[in-house]
Amino acid sequence: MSLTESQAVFASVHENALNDVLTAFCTDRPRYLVYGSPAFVPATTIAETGMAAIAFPGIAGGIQWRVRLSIPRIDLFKQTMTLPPELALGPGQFSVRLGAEICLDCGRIRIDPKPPRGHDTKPDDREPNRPLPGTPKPDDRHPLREVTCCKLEVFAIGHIEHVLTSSGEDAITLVPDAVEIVDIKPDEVESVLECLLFMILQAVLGQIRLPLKSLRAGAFSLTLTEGPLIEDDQVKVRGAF
Amino acid sequence: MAEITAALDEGGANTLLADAIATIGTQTKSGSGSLGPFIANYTVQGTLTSGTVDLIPPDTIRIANLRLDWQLDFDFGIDLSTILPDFCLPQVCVDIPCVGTVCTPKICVDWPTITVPVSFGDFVKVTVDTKLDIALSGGKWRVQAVVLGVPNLQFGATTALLLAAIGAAVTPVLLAVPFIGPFLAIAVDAILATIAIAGVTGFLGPIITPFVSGLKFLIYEQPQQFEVLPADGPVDPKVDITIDTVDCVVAHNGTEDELVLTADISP
Amino acid sequence: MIDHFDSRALGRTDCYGQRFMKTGTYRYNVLPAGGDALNDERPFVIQVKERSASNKMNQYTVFIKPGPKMTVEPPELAIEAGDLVLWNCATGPAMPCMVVGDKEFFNSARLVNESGYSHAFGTAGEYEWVDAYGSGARGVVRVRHPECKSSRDYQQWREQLSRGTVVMISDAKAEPREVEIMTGQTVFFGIVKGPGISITDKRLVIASACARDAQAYRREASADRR
Repeated sequence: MSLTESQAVFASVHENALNDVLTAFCTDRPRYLVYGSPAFVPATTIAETGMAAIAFPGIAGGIQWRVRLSIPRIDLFKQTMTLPPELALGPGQFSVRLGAEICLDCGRIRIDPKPPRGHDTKPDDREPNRPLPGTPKPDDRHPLREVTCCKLEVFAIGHIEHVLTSSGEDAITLVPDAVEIVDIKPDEVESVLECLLFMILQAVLGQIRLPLKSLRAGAFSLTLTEGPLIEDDQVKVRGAF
Repeated sequence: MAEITAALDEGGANTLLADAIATIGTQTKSGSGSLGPFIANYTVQGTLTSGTVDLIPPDTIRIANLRLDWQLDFDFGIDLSTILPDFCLPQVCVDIPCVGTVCTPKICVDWPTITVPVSFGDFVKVTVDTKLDIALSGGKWRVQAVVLGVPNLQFGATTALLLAAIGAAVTPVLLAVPFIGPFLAIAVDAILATIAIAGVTGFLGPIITPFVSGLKFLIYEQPQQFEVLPADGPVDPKVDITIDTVDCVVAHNGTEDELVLTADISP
Repeated sequence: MIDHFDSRALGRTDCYGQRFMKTGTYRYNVLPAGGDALNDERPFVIQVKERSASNKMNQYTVFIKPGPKMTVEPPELAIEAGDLVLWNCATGPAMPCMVVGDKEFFNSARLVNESGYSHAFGTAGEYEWVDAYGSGARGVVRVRHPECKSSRDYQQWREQLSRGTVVMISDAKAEPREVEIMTGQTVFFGIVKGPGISITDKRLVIASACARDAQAYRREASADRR
């Protein structure tokens, strides 16, 4: 069987090269792997993307957070990378493995005894924050402020889609279909985290649009008519010259 | 297995080579050459048009009927004293009324050296074999199809036509030479016989052949530091990869001959 | 292409003839055409002595040798009154030249009495000639191509080359006014009497103030030397 088959041009990129390109992208534009609220990321730079804090009543400035992802590692069908049993790599699919660190800026909120604005109450002459007699001593487990993080290993399977870059070039993007985080208990917590990371992964990978021209190292010209297809550890395309 | 593979079938290769040849555009060369016993200074322009591509494994691209349209402008000097015999006006005596006989001396004419400008154009078709040449130079990867050997260009009827064009160009120049009138046909014939078809062939060959011999058609050219994405604002710099190796062959895959370019990259 | 036909500028196939009717020493020079305005030297000599008993006019031919400084052979010539001296360029290629003496009549650029000019025509065509100095003298020379095809044609043509044609000019009238010859043949223009004329292809006459000024300057320079 010829490479071009019924078309004039054929191009393929092996998963090793795809990983090289992804590594290059994430190394040159690391902000696509690091997102945080102002306490962690005061402003968007090449290194990190600034986001809003999670607003919550009573928490001045909102809940400060940060997500840091490692450089994704892709495996194209046929499977060579180990996956958790919950995921199975099928024809035309890719799997991805990456690390995710989620951090929160955890801290104590100072309770103001004064009535909140707009409420009419009896004056209280007690000293502020002084416990009532007989009240047990407060738990000092949480200091005033503390960054609390967790690291997760994330697996996902997905498919690739044909998209256009901002300059109108043919490109591909990786679209996750399912995410698995191993051994989080209870299962409901695992499901919540998988949902969170599924949405984050869709968004992050969706921003990475790799031009087809780059994936064939600029060789020849190709007007896409077939693909992109995943097979034989490669992404393959065919078209007219 | 190569990390990146790109392949063209023969139809695609035809288009690729046609584009590569078209980008060469019109080339101009100047110099001097031997036109029979005369030295001619010339300027020649050549424009190539691709023919039919045949991919031959493992590394040959044959282009059949590669067409070279050429336009030649040249001039050459002829010392007419080497073409024509010495010519002398005899003594002329006349009777002047009331004076007597007055005679001029014998006057010999010196044939001058003339310069003949000629302009002529034609085309030639040739079949060439090219070999793939891959090189990294000046930070750029290049794959070129290089014409092998020195093609033997067959000029055919062109030589006779050029000889006729020389004859047509010589005539008005000769007419400007005093006393040549009666000898014009003799002079033109003598000049053309001196040059002859062999002289024209010997003149054209070294001038036209270099347009084809050693020609290089660019198949692939990219910087080793390859830009995947351009910069897109102050917080999104460009994304580069390194093309570590490039190879290019003609492969027979299935029932097709294909031009296959492979590359390995690193971040 | 036209044949350069101008008695003011003698070429390879031109001759200038001058009869010297009076005894004396006539000094002259051979210069590039128009050079008399810049050069007063007269290094060559025609020595004219009394005529002997014979009435036959003798002709002497002086050959002009081209070079950075033109010379003549012989540089000194002794003749008798009434004899003719003919000047011609011995070898070519020659810069168009003039023969100019220290007497007004003795000037190839301006033919006065008892002088002549011959020209062998090398190119076919119709040559209307005029006096560049405006006396009104004019005529036509028609030069025909011989159409030689065989060696016999060439032989016949070569034989005709030794036959010349004469045009006599007196008081600005040329007789005959129109002549017809073949390529290679010679026309003699004999000036019997005139104010000082030239035999010039009409196409070469520059009808401009500059040319007229140059001619006037030459006449003044010539008058000053005398």
